[in-house]
Amino acid sequence: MSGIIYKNFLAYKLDLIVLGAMDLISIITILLATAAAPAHSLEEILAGICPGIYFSMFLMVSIFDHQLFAADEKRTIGSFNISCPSGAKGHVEGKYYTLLIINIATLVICFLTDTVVCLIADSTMYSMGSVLMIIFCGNILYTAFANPFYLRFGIMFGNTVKFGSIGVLFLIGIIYFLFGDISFILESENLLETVMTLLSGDIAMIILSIFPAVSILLYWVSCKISVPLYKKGVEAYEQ
Amino acid sequence: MNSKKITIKRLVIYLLIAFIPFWIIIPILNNHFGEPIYASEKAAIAAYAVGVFGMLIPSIAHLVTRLVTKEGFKNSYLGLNFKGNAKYYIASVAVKLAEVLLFVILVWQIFAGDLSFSEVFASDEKVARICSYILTIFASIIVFFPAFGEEWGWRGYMMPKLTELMGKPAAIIVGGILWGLWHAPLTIAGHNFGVDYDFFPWLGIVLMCVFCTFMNAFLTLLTEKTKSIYPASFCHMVNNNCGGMIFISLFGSEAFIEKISAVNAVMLMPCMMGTSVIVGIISFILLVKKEKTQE
Repeated sequence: MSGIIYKNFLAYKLDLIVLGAMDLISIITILLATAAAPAHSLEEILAGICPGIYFSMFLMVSIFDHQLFAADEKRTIGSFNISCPSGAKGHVEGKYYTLLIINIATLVICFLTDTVVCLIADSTMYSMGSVLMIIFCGNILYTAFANPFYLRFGIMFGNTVKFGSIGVLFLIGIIYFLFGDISFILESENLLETVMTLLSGDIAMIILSIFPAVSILLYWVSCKISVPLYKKGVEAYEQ
Repeated sequence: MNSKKITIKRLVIYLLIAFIPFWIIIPILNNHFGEPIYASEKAAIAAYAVGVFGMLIPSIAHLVTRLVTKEGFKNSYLGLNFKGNAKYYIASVAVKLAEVLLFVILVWQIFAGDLSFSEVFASDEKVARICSYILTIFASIIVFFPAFGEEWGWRGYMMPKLTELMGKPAAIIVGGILWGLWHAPLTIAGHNFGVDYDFFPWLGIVLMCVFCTFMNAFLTLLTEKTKSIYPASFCHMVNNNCGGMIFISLFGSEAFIEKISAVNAVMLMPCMMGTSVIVGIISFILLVKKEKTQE
C-alpha cells in the first residue's frame, strides 16, 4: 500500500506544490491580520477571517483532488491497475488513503496556525479547534460523496456531480433566504452570537456530536463501494 | 561497530534531541515570566503553545535521528495495520474512557463521599454536556497529531531501541522513567500538579515517572500488537483531552466540583494512578508473556 500511496503523491506532485503555496499565502494572511488587527476589534476580525480561510484551505484540497484520478483515466492503465497484485481494491484504497493524508496534513497546518494565532492574540478565546474539526469532517464527507462518481464515470462527470451539488445547495440556500423564515438573522444584533446560540441547541448538539463519526463511517463505506464501481468504470474509460 | 553499539548511539542521539529543547526553553520562559509558566496567568498562552509544539519534539527527534544516522525508515510504525487489529484501535479509546469513569468513582468516594449519586452530577443541560463530551472524544481522535508527536518518538523509536538493548520488562520501566523525566521541566513549571504541594517539584516528578511507566506499558502493548503508532496516539490524546478532571468539570454538579477543586492535584493522583496501575500491570504481563512465547 505504501508504494501505491507514494506513486499517488508523485503523480499529484505539481498540485501539491500549488496547494502548499496557497496554504502558505493563507497562513501569512491570517498571521498578518492577527498581528495588525487593533486590540478592540481583534475578536470580530479573527471570527470573520479565520474560519473562512481555514474553510478555503480545505476547499482547495477538494477542488484539486480530481487531479489524483486524472493520471489513471485510461482503459489500458485502468486494466493494468486491476491486474496488479493489489488489484482494484489496492488502487482505490490507495486513492482514499492519499486523500485522507492530504486532508490530515491540511488539518495539521490549520491547527498549528491556529495555535500561533492564539499566541499572537495572547488568548485561547480565538481557538478554532472545534471549527477545524467540523470543516475537516465536512470535507471528508464531501470527498466520500464525490469519489465514487470519479471512479465510475471519470473526471468530467465526477466534477459535474461534485460542483453541481454545490450549486444545488447554493440554490436551496438562496431560495430559503428569499422565501424562508430568516427573522432570527434580521433581528439579531450579533450574527456570530446568534449562530453560536443556534448551534448550542440540543438537536444541533446531537447532530454535531455524531457528525465526525458519520463522516468517517461514510468515507469508509464510500471506499468499499468504489472498488466494484472502479472495475465497472474501467470498462467505460476511453482507450 | 557492532549492532548494539549502533543502537546505543542512535538512542543517545534521539534522547539528546528530545530532551534538550524542553530543558532549555521552559526554564527560559519561567525566568522570563518570573514564575512557573503553568502557574502564571500572564504566561497562559505561552504555556499552551509550549504544550502543543513541545509534544512534537519527540517526533522531530525520531525523524532527525533516522536521517542523521542513515537508519532509513524501516519499522517506523507508520502503517495503519487496521485489518485484524480493530479491537486494539477500539481498546485504545475504550480503556481510557473506562479509566476516566473509574477515576471519577474513586474521587467521588474518597473526596466527596457525603454527596449522593444524584448530587454528584449536574442535572441541567444533560444532552448538551453528553454531546460536548462525545465531540471532545472525536476531536481527540481526529486532531490526534500532537499526541502522535510524542508517540512516534517514545513508542515508535525509543521503546524498540530499549527493547533491543535490555528486553521488554526492563525497557518498559526504563522507557517509562525516561518519558516521565522528559516531562520534568513541565512538572517544575506547574503542569499536571500545580506548584502548591509538599516536596515541590520532586514529588511531582516522581509521580509523573510512576504514572508514565504504567501508561508506557499500555501504549507499548497497543503499538506492539498493531505494529502501528496510531492507536497509542489516539489513546494518548483521549487521555490528555478527555481525562477525569475534564469529565468532572463537564458533568459534575457545582457542589462536587467545589469539593474536588479544594483537593490538591497530587492527592488526586493516586485515584488516577489506581486505574492506570491496573491497566499497566495487565499490559505488562501481556507484553512479557508475548516475549516469552516468542523465545
